[in-house]
Parts: sequence; C-alpha cells; structure tokens
Amino acid sequence: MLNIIRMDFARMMRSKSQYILWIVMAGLLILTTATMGSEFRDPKASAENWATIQDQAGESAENLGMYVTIPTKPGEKATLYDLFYGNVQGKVEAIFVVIFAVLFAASDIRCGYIKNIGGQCKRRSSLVLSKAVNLLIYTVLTFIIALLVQVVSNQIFFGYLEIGPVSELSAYVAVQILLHYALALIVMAIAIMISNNLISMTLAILMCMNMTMLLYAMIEKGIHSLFDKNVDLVTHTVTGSISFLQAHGSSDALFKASLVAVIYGVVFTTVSALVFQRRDIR
Amino acid sequence: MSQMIVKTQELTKQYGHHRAVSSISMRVRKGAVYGLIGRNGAGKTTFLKMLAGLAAPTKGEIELFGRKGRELGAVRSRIGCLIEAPGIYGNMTAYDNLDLKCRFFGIRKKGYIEDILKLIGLSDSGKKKTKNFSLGMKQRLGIGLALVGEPDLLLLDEPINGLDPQGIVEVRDTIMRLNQERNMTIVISSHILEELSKIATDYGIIHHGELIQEITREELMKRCVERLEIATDTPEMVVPVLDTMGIKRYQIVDSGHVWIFDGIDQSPTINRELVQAGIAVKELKLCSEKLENYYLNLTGGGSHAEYH
Repeated sequence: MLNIIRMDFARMMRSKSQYILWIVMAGLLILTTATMGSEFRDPKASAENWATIQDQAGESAENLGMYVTIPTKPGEKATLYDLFYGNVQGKVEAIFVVIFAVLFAASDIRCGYIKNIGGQCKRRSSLVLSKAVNLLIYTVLTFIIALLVQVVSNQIFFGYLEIGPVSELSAYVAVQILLHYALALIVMAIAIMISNNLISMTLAILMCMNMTMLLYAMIEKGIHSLFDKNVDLVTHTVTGSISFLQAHGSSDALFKASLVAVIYGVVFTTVSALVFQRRDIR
Repeated sequence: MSQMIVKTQELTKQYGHHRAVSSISMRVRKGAVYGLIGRNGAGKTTFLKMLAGLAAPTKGEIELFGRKGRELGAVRSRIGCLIEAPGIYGNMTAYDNLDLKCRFFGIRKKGYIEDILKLIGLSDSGKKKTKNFSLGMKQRLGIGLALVGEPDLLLLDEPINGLDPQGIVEVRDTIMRLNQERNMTIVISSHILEELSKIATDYGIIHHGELIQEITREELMKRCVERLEIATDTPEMVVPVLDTMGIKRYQIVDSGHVWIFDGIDQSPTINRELVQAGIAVKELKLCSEKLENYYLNLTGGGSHAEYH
C-alpha cells in the first residue's frame, strides 16, 4: 500500500496540471483581494458588502454562482481571516480542488496506465485509497498556498496584515480542509465510477457553483409534500457546509461540519473502492 | 513432467448476451512460449485480460503458479502484461513511466530502469515525451513496463502490432532472450502466424471464443510438413511394404490413412509396390500445408482470414 501511495505521489508531483491550477488560484486570490482592497476604501461599497453579509447570516438558502464577500464591519480592519473566509465561502479554493481531483483520479484510467498495475495488486481497491491519500496531500498544500498568497496579498492591497483571532482561524482552516477534502473524495468517486472526464468535470464545477441547491430544493419540496415535514438538506451536505460554516462559528457548528465531511468522505471513498474492485479494467 | 504455470478450467467470459470466451481449458508449461492464435474478435484479448487479473471470469477457474481462487492475489505480482495498446502517460518520458511502475513494486535498484530501457531499445529516448513516440516505440515501452518487477509470466497481446520489420525482429529476439536466459514463461497472442511460428513452442488456437486446438510446435510442424497421404482400408498392410522399401518416416494416422514423410518424390514407385502387394489404394496425394492454411482449414475461415 505504501508503495502505491509513493507511486501516486510521484505522479502527482510530476503533473503539470497541479502547478498550473495553483498558479491560477493564486492569481484569482490576488485579484479578489485587490478588488476587495479597492472596494474597502470606498465607504459605500463597504457598507453594501456588510449589508450582504447580514442578509446571508439569517438565511439557509445559498445563492447560485460564485461570489466573494468578506465579513468585515465598516470601519474595521479587514483581517486575513476575513479575506480567507470570503474566498473559501465563495468556493475559490474548492473549484481548484475539484478540477485537480477529476484530472488526477481518472488520468491513469484514461491513458490506460492502470492496465500495467491493476492486475498486479492484491486488492485493486488499494489504488483508490492511494488516490484518496494523495488528494489529502493536495488539499492541504492548496490551503497552505492559499493562505500564503492571502498573507502577501493582504499586505500589498490593504497596506497592512491583520491576522485575526489565531485559534478561531486555525479551527476554521482545519474544518474547511476537511470539507474540501471530502468534496475532493466525492468528485474522485464520481470520476472513477462515471469514467467520463467531461461529465465528471461538469458535475464538479456545478457543485462548486451551488447548482446542487436546485436539486436539494426539489428534494426538500418533495419530502414536504409527501410527509408534511420541513427538512434542511443543505447544511447536511459538504458544499452546503463549506458555504454556511460561519467565520466565528460555535464549536458545535465546527463539529457538525467535520462530521458531515467525515461521513461523506468515508461513504464515497468506500463506494468507489468497491466499484473499482469489482469492475473490469477496459 | 513439466510444471504447469497456467491452468484454466472451463474459463468463460460473458458480456450481456455475447460470450467472448467460452469454456477454455488450457495449460501452459513453465518455460514455454505459448502462442495464442486467433483472428480479431476471437477472444484472445479477453482471455489474456482474465489471466492478467484485469477482467473477472463469468465462470470457470484460473490457476497460476499452483494457486487459485483467493490465493491468486498473492502471485499476481509475478505477472507482467501488455494488453492491447500500451498504457503510458503521454506527458512523461519513458524513464518516468518506468519509474512509476518501479515505485509500485518498491524497486530502488540503481540502474534498473536504464537496463530495461537498453533491453527494449529506448536508451536514447532521453527527455522525449511518450506522446511524441512512434507506435513502435510505444509498443516497446509497453513491453518494458511489463518487464518491471522481473515477472515469471509474461502476457503479451499482439506485441508486434505496428512495428516495422526491424522492430519485429528486435521484439522477437527480446522475447526469445527472455525465454532462454531468464526461463520466463510467455503467452503471446498474434494473428501474424508466420512470426509466431518462429518463437512459439506451443500453440492454442482460439475461434469464436473457444479453444479449438492445443498443439506443440513439433506436432504442428509434422502436420504442416510435406507428405504423401495414402487412403486405404488396410493401413496395417502398408507398413511391411514401406519397411521393405527402406522408408522409415511414416505414420498411421487413423484406420483409413497413412502419411509418408520420406521418399515423397517416389510416389509412382510406392503406388506400384502397394498395388503389387494387393493393397487397395483409394487415394495417393502429395500434401503440404502452410501454417496459415492449417489455421484456416481448422477454423473454416478462408474468406475472413488474416495472414501475412
């Protein structure tokens, strides 16, 4: 198993797509920070931003599409935590995690390299588990790079670096890494089971753009009409948890989000490993 | 008795209503080069995929290195395979592709990859990405990947496809060297019968998913060599006549036929002697069969045959 992980790690490090995605993500983070910086200096824009945040806090429905707003009160300093929260909630990091997950999870199947090793494993499911381990490494590195870029961008475009409450930031980052990792595992499972890059990539991007909200809304409506019960699906999903985990959330909220991540991650990885174990390699 | 490396029992693969492989029971002895002959769509690739662990059988059993069932997992690493088109990462070099498989096996020996590159004739590929390789180079890299881990059993599915004449010779020489120097057991499928006849020691002929014949090279050559075929109701009476004539190589094939391999240019004399001995000769004819014709006659597929 360790050898397979080493093999996939080497493959990941040699993959150009990883570095290209990180560079593009860094560029996007710089762009959003630059935009936020100029807006922040405009009192009217700053007030509008705060009003948007206040509206969102009371709702459980997500907006479709991708957007970035920061939870900084007008007149206060924008912290690293605020900017990081805004980008994460806007699924900036998520989109680069899922794109890489699709490319990485399916590349050995797509090019046929799997034929060289698939028949020689004791258990073929270990190939899926190895991918899962390496996606964790990728997710953690992505967040480290995102934070470093944010630190530099804050200094450049805001003129100062205010970190915010370190322990809260650490807890938030850790839970978001877990959630993004779960998202990567879901996308990996889709890529392995569907075996079609176009469909997998499309689904992954739609998930990041909150298009699954439409599906959840339909399911909630269906449950309500059948059983006369109100169900809130969104906060029990990974994408919903990424978006709705508040910046200074309670430990209960952090725990619940972590639990959602762990359950989805384990279930999807197990299912994809079982499917891969039993399916013929073509 | 030779040890059997591969044994299959009633091996079957069904895709929906289509039976790709039907009840194949086959034996491959250790150190053999087993040629799997069959036209496109006969079931060769599907059969090899099952041996390689890439496809699960619908029915039947596989035994490799004396292990079967759940124990197969323990010996799978002793198999190297090249099935259909080589599976390689286009954005990596030949070295990197081999390096990944070495990591899979935990091989860290210095110079190991270079040795394989030299064996397959890709030492000079350098930094060239495999997506820019010719078909022959990709095929050779595929063989190289199959060799990583020093397999005891090599499964090659049409390895000379797309190779130029020199490439074919090189692959053939490589296969023979691996078989002779490393005592590697090799199962190689092809529809280029002439090439297969130069290296295979045993043959299995697959047609419509069924193994219709298993035969050694010696037996195949016997059946393909030039001979006089005599049809008679009393073949046992032919033997003393041939012995008197000094003809030593002959064979009573069945209750109605005798094949003569010596003195085939003396057919009028043989005929006269047999008649004078009171033997009723129904038919006397000179036969020889090219390997392709032998295969075509066996499979009854003259109009769809593929031979070179």
